[in-house]
Amino acid sequence: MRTASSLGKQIAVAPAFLLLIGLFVAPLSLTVLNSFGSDDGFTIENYANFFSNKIYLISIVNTLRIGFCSTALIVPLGLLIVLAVRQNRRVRNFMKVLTTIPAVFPSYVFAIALIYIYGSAGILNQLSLSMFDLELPTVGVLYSWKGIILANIMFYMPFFIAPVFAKLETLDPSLEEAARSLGSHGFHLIRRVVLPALTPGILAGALLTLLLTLNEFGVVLFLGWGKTYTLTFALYSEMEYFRPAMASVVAVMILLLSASVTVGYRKATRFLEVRP
Amino acid sequence: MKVLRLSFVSATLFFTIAFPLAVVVALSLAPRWGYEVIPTEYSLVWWSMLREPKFFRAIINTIIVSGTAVALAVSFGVYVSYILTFLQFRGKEFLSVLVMSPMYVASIVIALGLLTVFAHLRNTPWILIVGLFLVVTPIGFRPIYAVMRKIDRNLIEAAESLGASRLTVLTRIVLPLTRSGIVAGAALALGLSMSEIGVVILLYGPSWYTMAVQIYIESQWGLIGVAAAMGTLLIAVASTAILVVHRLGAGTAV
Repeated sequence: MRTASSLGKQIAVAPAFLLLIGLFVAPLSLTVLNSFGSDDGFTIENYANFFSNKIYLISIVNTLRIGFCSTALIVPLGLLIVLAVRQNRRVRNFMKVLTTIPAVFPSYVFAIALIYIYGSAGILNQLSLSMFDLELPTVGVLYSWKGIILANIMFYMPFFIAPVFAKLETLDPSLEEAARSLGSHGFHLIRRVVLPALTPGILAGALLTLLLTLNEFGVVLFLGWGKTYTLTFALYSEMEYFRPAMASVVAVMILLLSASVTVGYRKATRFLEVRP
Repeated sequence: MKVLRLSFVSATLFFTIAFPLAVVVALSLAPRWGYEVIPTEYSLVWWSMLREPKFFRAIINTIIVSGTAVALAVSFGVYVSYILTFLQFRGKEFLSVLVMSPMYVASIVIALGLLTVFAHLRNTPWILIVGLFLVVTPIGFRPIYAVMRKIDRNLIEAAESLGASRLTVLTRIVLPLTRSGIVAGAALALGLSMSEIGVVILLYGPSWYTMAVQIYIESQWGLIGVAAAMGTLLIAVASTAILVVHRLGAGTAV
């Protein structure tokens, strides 16, 4: 293949770096700088303010709680689905189409649907009221962090399933056959043969789910009603009150959280690629 | 056992996908939905309201802003895939991480970064285009790169030995062979950019807002039926994108 001259090559690749650094890296770096800014130069006052104010601490707790609880519920449920369809090729291919849903669907439209299904005047409550002659609505979890977790489970489960499916495709079917012929079946087969082989995919899927549920904004905006304060919602709310410095502090917290999960995710995917 | 498995899977699919989507469509078709389990009458009243200037503007804005952002992101995705596939240069590994990194950053944080630098561009299409461009670049780039890197190098060497220029190789061999990846990347990027709310919510203004913003405003303080009609439109676009991607066999987005 023809090789470009060194200068020509640099001219060819420079725009890619310039564009991404100019529009993505530099603005984010300036935001980090802004979080230390005040009228009289460099200060950590904003951070002191962040850690002494209860509402911000609550937003951290809520974010972690929503992220970890959603992931902890999505993983077993998603695994059950993968195990249920793993031998049926047609269903599996159909499910693979569905795993693209969270990448392109609007999560907040699902949140609207949830309000009309599980909300206080939603379908579920109307149904239970009309069936059992009750006085008060029975389902009332929607407008809290639990409702956000419910929405996250529904919306992000495909994101967990996709890498597990990808791992499943690469498995040698003779592995399971060999285990069967050696007398392993049922729960033993799944626990000792299938699950260990899927572990890298499960790990990658779980960390991706964690990252996306920690960063979720649309569902919180539509379901939280300002009551469930998360970090992304706190950022939005700081900007609504024209406090860009505090918004930048919140952004730094979100970035730190994403960075730690992303490092884990990249390690897990590398592990996934390396393993045969 | 098989029946149990399939009913578990279909129940999950029903409650997580089919039922919520049916509710959104029903909301857009029900002129009233008070204290009934399912609406009793249906009409197109909310859909015909989409012609009103406020809502029509949201739809047109979304098409302009998302269309431009997707065109830019796909062109950029082709360009980055090309240099990553065919050139050896310093910082190659860094570029391949950098181009995917907007995916790992909350979109509202990307928007705050843009506001820090381009605050004067608020309420213009440009800042929305830049924000959406960043958000959709990873998802548009990935299928393009996946297809382009698998092109048989012998084809290119054969063309070059027959005297084809770099440009001819690009337009006659590389681009046609990458077409499925480009279409898949464009479809995914379009679906995501039209649905995206985190980046838009900080960057929109009184005359440059999108369907996502209008859905938020209508669902909280306005006409839920119109919000549902717009949501149905977005879901229709996203579903088409998914079908295109899987018809092409370009793999999953994740």
